[in-house]
Amino acid sequence: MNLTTTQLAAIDRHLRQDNWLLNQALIAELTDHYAVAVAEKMSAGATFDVALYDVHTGFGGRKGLLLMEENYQTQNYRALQLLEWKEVRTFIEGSRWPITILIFGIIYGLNHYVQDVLNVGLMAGMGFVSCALLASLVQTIVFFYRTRGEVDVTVARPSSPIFSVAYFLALLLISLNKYVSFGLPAGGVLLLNTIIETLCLVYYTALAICIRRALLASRKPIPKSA
Amino acid sequence: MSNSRIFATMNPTNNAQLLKGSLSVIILKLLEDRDRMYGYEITQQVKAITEGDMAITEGALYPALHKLEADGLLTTETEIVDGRARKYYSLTKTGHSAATDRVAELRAFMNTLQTILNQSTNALIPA
Repeated sequence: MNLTTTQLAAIDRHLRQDNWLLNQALIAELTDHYAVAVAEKMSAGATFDVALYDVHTGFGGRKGLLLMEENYQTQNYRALQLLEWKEVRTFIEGSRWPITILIFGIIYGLNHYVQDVLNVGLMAGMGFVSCALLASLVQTIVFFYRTRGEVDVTVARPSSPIFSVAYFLALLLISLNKYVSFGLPAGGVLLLNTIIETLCLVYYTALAICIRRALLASRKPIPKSA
Repeated sequence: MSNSRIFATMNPTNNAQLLKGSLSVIILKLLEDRDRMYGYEITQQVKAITEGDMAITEGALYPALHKLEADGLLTTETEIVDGRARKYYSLTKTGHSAATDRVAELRAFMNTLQTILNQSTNALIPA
């Protein structure tokens, strides 16, 4: 049984106006569910209003729908974070590792010949990437604390361990050399600087890929049900 | 006695509690058997397989689907059906291996539970 345009409009109104949903993608998904479920109940003899009420109850009423939307937004945010680190991993452990080597080579050469030019960029890049890594580390600790070991394999590894260890180790050695006179040779400092700059650039490239993907996904039109 | 029958003999609150822990496994298993499914189809499939003994509420199904999608175990594609956007869920490569692992884990757990329940039942039978 197919619903009429008026009935589909009533479902749309029910979700948007009566139950205050805002997320277009979720509304589109739920509209389809409501439409199929209501049509089936009407085929079994229920009136439109009774069928709509039954389906609405299955979603836990308005409270259930709003909670679902909140949860949906949270999961979307988490999915983007996972995507970001997934892209970073492709540069470190995945198919894009030659690009990382290439970036490393270019930056090493630039550092060797025109070091001053890169210093400002290095400072700006380091600040952002360090914050992102620390945030990821804190989130992982909080996540492990909350789940008490019952961890899903896909979320147990939100960042890239190789990336994080290489970055923090290089940063630690440079800091020790600068403030505690660690006695690193000039070649060693150059290498560590290059590693940090390469990782920063890899992170920014992965971030750019994520933003592009998110924008492309958001541009996909979601047709209205009525 | 099938597991669905076991659920059916319980009160709805306990049933929901048991179902909550295994919902993601049910979804993964269904999607492993079929290429792709949409939300309403999943609820109906569960109802059909269990002959109506088990019903997944929409309020539980969609958050579970969205979480599995965010975890990278499910991927989605949207198609226009009857003028509406229908979102189909299917397993990713990681999802396929997760489905196999989780079903095996749940089976092992159920076997252990069965052993305990049988042991308890035997203990009640006078020698």
